[in-house]
Order: sequence, then C-alpha cells, then structure tokens
Amino acid sequence: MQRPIYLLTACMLLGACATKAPQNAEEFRQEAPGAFLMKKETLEVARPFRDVAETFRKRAPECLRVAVRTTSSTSTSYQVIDAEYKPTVVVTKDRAELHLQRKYTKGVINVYAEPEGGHYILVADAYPLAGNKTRLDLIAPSRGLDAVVRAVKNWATGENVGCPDMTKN
Amino acid sequence: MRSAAAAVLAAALAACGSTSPYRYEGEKNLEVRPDLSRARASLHIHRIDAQCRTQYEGSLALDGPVELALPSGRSSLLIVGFDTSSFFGGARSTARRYVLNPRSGYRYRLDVRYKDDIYDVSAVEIPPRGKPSVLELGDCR
Repeated sequence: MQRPIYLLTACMLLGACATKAPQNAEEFRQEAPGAFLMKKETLEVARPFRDVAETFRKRAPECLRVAVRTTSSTSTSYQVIDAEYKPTVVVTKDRAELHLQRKYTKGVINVYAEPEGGHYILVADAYPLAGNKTRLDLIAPSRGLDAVVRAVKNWATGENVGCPDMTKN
Repeated sequence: MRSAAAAVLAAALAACGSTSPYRYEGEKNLEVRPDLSRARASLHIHRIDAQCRTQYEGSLALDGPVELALPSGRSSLLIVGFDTSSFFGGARSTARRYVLNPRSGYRYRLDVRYKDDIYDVSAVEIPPRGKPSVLELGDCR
C-alpha cells in the first residue's frame, strides 16, 4: 500500500519542479533557488577564503564521497534504495565551489535526464571578502539534507570539521 | 511497525557482519575516547597487509573511554561504526575506516565524536618523550 503514496508524493514534487533538471552547477545556481523546497542562504564568516577553500578541498572527498543503502520493510513490503554521492570542489582565486551530486543506483526511477554523476543537490560557493572574511552562498533543499548543509556551514566557519552522517539525508 | 536501516560504506560494514570481542595481549597503546550524543559507537579492528587485504580481529563497544593494545610495527584497520535510531527514522548505521600503524613505544589517542548528525574521528600520536602530534588518518590505498 505504500508504493502509491510514494508515487503520489513524487508526482506532486515533480509537478512543482522545472521540466528539466539542472545539468551542471551553473544551471543549478540559476534554477534551484526558485524551485519548490529549495533554499538559498548567504552567510559571512570570519575566516580567510584560503582556509575555507582548503577545508572544502580536504573534507568534501573524505566526507561526501559515499554510497548509502537504505532498506525499509513492513509486514507487506520491502524496499532497497542505493544512492551514490559525488562531491566536486573547484577552487580559483575568486571562488571556491563545492558541488554535491546524488545518483540513485537502485530503487528510484529517474524521470528527468540525469547529468553524469547524478542530480545536483547542493552547491556552495565561497567568495573572498575584505578583512580576511568569506561569503558563503549555499543552495540546497530546505529539508532533507540538513546534516550536509550544517556540515558545509561548519567547514566554512571552521567550528567543526566533522563529517555529516549521510544516512540522515 | 516499520523498521528501516541504512548503511554507509557497505563494504566496511560487511566486514563486521558477525562480531567477536577484541583481544590482543600486548601493552595498551591506544586510548579511545567517545563523546556521543544520541548515537552508539563501536570499534572494529582488522589486521591489514600492504595489499589492503584485511583479517578481522575483533570489536568492542565504545560505551566509554577504553584502552586497548594494538600490535606495533604493522598496520591495523580501525572501523568506527555509529548507530542511531529513532521512531520515525528507524535504525541507521554509518562507518568509517582508518589505517593506523602504531610505532613501538608510542601511544595513540582516538577521539570519536558524534553530535547533531555530524561525526568526527581524530587521532593523536604521543611519543615516549616529546609533544603529542595530530595524526592524519586515512584509509588503505
């Protein structure tokens, strides 16, 4: 009985989204902030841009390049969902980008064309500011990726360089 | 009742399918200090060779600070597992792998933290004389 509920929910969500999923980080930056259940946050941190970029470069592969298997069962159903996460960090002198993609390899049907590596689910851009400060633009779902969003903010502030528990997504 | 379980690094967890207590009768050279909030943690120890082949040696629950002996002069694979559960979220498990090659006469400290769905494992190497230094932990490559 749960499958129709999942499908209905998926249809509602998809209906509210654009008809084409972003195929790269730039498209995600343009399209995601206005999409249903997506959010853009901007914050300023008292930490040099160089340090923020270095933390992104070090922690993103260590923490975010993971595969997650979720299994759920009831007395009448059993479901397995496999997801692979792919982080990408691009650092220039003007910007440090952290992209996160998620590719479902089992248990989820893709409706839209998926870019290589999976759909973009988060883009964080750090920009240098005067006075050894850094601005962080963070685009991510408003719900469901809370641990990752919190971890990326922590990496920017330097308060906590721990990894998000990716099973909580 | 709905039950759910999630696993990160299935390969790592697969190696811990059935656990047994860790026993190594040597000088205790590793102190593990857990600091956990709404999570349980466990440590699984494997012998590992240069080809990254592993041989399971035992596990222990990280209910509080613990000291144990790791053989020096060869590498051990330490898998730190975190388990959480909630009524709606079900049971979830995540694990990370770290290779440690203890040096003779040195002591090591492993701080294992989990709070607000964020975890961190850090290590310090303490020489017989001199200052402790932060140890970069990594997986076998």
